[in-house]
Amino acid sequence: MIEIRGLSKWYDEFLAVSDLSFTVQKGDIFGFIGPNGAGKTTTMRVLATILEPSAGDALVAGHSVIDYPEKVRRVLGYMPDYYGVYEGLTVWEYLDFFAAAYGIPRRRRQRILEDVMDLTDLKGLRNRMASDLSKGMTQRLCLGKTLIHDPQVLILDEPASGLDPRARIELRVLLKELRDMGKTILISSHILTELADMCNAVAIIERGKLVASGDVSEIVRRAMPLTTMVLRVKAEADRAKEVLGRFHFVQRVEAKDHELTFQYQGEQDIPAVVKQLALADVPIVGLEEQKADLEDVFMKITKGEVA
Amino acid sequence: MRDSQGQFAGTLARAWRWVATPILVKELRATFRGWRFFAAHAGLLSLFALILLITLVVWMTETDPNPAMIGRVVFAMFIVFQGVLVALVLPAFGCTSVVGEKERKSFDLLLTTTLSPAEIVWGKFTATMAYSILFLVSTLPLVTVAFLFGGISLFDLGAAYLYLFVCSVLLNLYAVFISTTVKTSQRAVVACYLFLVPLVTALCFWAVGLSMRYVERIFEGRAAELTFEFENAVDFVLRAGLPGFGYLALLGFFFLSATNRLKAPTANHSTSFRVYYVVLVAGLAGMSIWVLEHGLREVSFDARRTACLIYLCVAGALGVFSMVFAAEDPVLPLRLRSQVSRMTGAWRFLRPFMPGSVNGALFCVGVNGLALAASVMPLWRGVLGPESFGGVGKNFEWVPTLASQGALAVPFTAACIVSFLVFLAGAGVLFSTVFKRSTTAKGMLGVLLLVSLLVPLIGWLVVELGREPETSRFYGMAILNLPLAVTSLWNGMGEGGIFEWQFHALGRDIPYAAVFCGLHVALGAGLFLWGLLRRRRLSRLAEVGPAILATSGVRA
Repeated sequence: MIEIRGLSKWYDEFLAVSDLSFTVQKGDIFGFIGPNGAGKTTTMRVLATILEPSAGDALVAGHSVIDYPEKVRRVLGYMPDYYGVYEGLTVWEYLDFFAAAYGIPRRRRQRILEDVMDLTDLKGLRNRMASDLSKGMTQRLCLGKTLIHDPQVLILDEPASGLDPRARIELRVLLKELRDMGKTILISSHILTELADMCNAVAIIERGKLVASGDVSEIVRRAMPLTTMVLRVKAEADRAKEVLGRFHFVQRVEAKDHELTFQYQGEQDIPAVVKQLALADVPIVGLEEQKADLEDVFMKITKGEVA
Repeated sequence: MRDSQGQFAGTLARAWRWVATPILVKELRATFRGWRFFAAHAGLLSLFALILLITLVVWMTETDPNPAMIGRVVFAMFIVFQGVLVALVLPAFGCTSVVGEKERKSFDLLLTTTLSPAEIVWGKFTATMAYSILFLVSTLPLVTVAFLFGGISLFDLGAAYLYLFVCSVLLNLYAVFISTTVKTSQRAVVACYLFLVPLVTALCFWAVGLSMRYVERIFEGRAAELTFEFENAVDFVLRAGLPGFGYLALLGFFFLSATNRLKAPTANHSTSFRVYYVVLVAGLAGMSIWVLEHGLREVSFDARRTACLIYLCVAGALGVFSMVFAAEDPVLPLRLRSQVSRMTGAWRFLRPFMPGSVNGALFCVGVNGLALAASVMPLWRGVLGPESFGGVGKNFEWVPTLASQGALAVPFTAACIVSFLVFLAGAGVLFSTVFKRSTTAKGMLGVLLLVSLLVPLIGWLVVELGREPETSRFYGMAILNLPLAVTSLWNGMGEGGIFEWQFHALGRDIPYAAVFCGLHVALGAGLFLWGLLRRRRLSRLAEVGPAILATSGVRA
């Protein structure tokens, strides 16, 4: 649904995005991750047809952002990271303005606005001034604006930024609902745990270059090939460390009080490890796998540099 | 039948979108709900009422108050203050309209809708006009107080309001244009008023003249005598044609410029301006030819000569101004490149209207050629003799005939035009590949134009001012070419035409002008070819990638 091909963007001498290529499939919730200044917003603004690329191209629903920006705008909803609402307009009037700006005929607007307000839970706020809304409600209003012309693709730049935990959870539920409606969503966020929870694919960029992209579990597996296990013992931690050292596949055993961590690669005979620990009279309290998540991957493959 | 009805309804709906634009509806909703607009409106109306009261008190306490005179004074005071309102207060709404969206961070949201840049500018302009109309209409009840005293007709009221409306359209569009060019509201206000004062002053040069006569007649109680009759075609062109044309030209310039500012940086910014220039040049040429052929029979010799030479300068300068299109970005943006490549077959003829240095050069040569051809056409009729073109030539008896100019007059005049066009087009193409930014290239071309035009123009003026009209030669053409101007200046001190200063070589008399003209053409052609070679190299670099372009110092 979104295809970015060799996209580059220069601001005079400054290279913001360099030869970026990745694909977002229809129905994906695709996380777009990177440190501040990595080029996420620039890429999203190119997709939203606000900026034109210096080189390369991007297709949204098959339409080139360079050749057919008007067609792209019809199928795309864009929610920027920072935006303002108009003073003096009610929630209804705000949405009505954007509906008109998208060329929706007046006779159809009433029903569409009702649907959008229903979906974004704004119905009770119909006559409230848009500028008086809380941050969470304003985010909902902007999302409602983004949905007003029923776009196939949503580009959401940091939509959870500044929201309280409840609003974030509500937003997550809403995005999943939109995915179930068949929308394709490209979302950037700094809250990686949340992205991991709702995204089925991600792209990570740093200094304008793509570092990794694809299915979340696949990226985690590729970036973190070693499985980390945590062993908790009641006592005899030194003996446990000595037993673990006997296994050739066990790597990097570290002990701290009554907790030991060790790593191994691929499929290994962990029951045999447990058996040896038991035979060595190590009082095992627990043994569990420490799941690697997007945060670990992000920290590992990015260097914290900005372009 | 149903299909045609549907199409008609669709057309109506699209047309209605340009009348009740979404931006207009939104602005009116937001503004009229706030207290600020209400306060400003109430304050202005109160001020107007106060002015009315003071005027009435002052004039009614006169020893022998004349009711008709009081009515006319009240009316005149109102129109003056309305003019101040229109010129200096109402543009404040327009100059923060687009920049306000940027500051409010709502501009990106607007750009990603299906509204085009032209619709956005139009929407902002109509919203600003709505405020102006509201202000003007709401003061109408106060103005009509003048009717209680008499001395004013409905025609006076209508004419005054029409004038205010016409001024308001231009100034509001100007304010919206300013709003698209700056980044903050403060700068918008400063820039707006910085240029507003001279613009209003320039506008008033013409308007005040009419207004004074108008006001004078009102005061004399002869308002009904006000007519729009003109003494002759020159009078019409000077009093109505040129100001009206200039007004429309300014409207077009502001609208196109504002729209261009909202387009993506690498979008096509040129084609609309090219069409605009062609319309402008064609309008001026049409007006000038009409005046020359139909309006100058009764006018004196000097007036005819002056009108013709003024037109020559205006059309030449205007056409030359379009030469900046030659100095555009050397490597076309991706989108435009694909658009140009699609222009095959008959569409190929539209290529000069597309951006790109070679297209730009073709466009400039074309427009300049047309403008100059239009400007010299009536002159050549005179050159060919009084009986030429069915006797039309007798209107141009003051133009020297071919015989008086010598046999080389025609080829030299043609060479003069061609050498100038080739020189500037060549310079434009070369500059577009040398400088990193198109604005720098255009600026440098402007400097070259100034040197090419001003120096010969001054030389020509020196010659012409010291000469009797009857002995005038075809020196007007010299303004196009520095070498020709030099020969004109040199030769003008003595007897004979500008083409008669010669030297003997290769067994024949060769005019110096021919040598200079040839050098000019050669130089221009050389610059053109050099520019083309550089452009080809840069285009190849563009294929390789922006990184290489950056190292070559040229923006992709």
